[in-house]
Amino acid sequence: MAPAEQYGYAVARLRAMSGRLLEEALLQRILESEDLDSALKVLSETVYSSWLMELKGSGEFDRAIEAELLHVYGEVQKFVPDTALVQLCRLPYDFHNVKVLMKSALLVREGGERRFDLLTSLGNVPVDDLIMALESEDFRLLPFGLHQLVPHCFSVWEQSKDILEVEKLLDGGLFSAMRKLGAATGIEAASMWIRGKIDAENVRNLLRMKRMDMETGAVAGFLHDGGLISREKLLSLFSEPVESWSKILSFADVSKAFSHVQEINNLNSLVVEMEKVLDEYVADIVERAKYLAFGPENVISYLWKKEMEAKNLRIALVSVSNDTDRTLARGLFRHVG
Amino acid sequence: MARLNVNPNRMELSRLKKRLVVAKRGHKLLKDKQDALIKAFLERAREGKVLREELESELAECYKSFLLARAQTLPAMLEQALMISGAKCDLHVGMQNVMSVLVPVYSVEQGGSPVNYGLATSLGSLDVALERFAALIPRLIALAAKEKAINLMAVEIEKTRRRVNALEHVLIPGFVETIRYITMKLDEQERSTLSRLMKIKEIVRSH
Repeated sequence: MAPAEQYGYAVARLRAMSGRLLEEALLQRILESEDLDSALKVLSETVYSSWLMELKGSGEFDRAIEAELLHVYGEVQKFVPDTALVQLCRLPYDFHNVKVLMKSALLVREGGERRFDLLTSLGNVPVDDLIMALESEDFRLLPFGLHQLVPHCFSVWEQSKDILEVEKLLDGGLFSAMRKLGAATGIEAASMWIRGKIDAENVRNLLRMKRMDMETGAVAGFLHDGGLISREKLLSLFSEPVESWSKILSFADVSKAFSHVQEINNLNSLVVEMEKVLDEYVADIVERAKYLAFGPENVISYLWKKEMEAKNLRIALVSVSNDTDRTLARGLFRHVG
Repeated sequence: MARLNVNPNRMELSRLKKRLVVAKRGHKLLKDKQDALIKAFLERAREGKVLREELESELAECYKSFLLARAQTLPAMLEQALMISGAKCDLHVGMQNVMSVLVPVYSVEQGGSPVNYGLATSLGSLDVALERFAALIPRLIALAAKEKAINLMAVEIEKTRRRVNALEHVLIPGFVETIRYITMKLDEQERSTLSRLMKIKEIVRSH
């Protein structure tokens, strides 16, 4: 971990950048726009304007959101003393890219086609390097434990032909890599954030599996170690009714999330609502960073808020472009703070 | 009405009379078939309309759930989750005879789970949407069968209606007209022969 004093400049820059995060009022204006063109016109008053100019059509707004996110990651990486904090936030995109390439390779074997168009440059590992490694089957230089995980996943596929098993391994690998990266930084707040994120992911997965009425034996494979709540506790939770989960988990912070949901009886809407509530819970873990002038957790806090901003923006623009119920979209907005 | 181009003789007359009887019987049968087809068609059309309306509202719900998933994640991540499907859908096609119209009967067997992706890089709303779509597939296929049957029956009704009309307004009146013409012609010939014979008889008597 870099000395705390070095974070003075980074935190100041992040505070300035936080001021440019989209306000709720602007999102409401976008949401109330008549059509996509007028929504993009409102958006062009913000930092997204430079990316919007590069679009070929209004339907490509996702590219602008991705470009802004990439720009922010790049900027923050330049001045943050511990770049591992940025890597931590970009890690899910690396694993997404690996999944795309693995699935492409499996599809090609069965006469399908490669889907390189689904790769994103938001990850830590350059897309070209990943393609090269997976196409030449030379995994040695892959970081974040992927050099062992990818060949293992291929052998699991050869044996079982079950893509879900491969996905479970990769998801497990993602959280394991996050834990290792967090521990390597030596920043307590980063480790706590990762543990909280794993808890949120486990609760979200449990809820999804409960809704799917999955067999108890199959549940363990979807849970991840390293959270504040043990895997055993989570497994015992699965057989209990959802209504009692918040009571059983009252010892953990994640139980607070249940107090924000309204329709606990309808699992379909509960799953959707919990996605939002758990995202906000993950943001709250590092929320105390706003009182710290030298806290490294400011980096995670800002980047997570930027991710939530991108999500909110996507919700608003998708809602406008498809002319769906605006109240529904409003209910999905994450509180960015 | 157009008369048929035939020689006015007794043989032709008897042949035409036979054809007229057959045409009238055929007309009645086709008319009955048309009525029955229309009845079955209307029944199916009503059922099809109700089913389509139900499915359209359910489909809208499915798309709404899918849109929720689409709105909350990177489109590439959503597509990545759906790259390899775990669900299997076997469709069997049979045929059913409805008033001599062969309509398809589809039966579908679903296997596997539509949820075949990692949970870390996907959303719960996607699970909800996929399950809704999967539950809708058998009914969508039933609607497809119903609408195909309606389509085939409509074509058959149109064909039958043309045949009935052709018999009713062209063939049968044509036969009737021709029969009347031949009958008149034969009567005329008979009268002419009779008067010729009387004339000959009168000439013979005067000598």
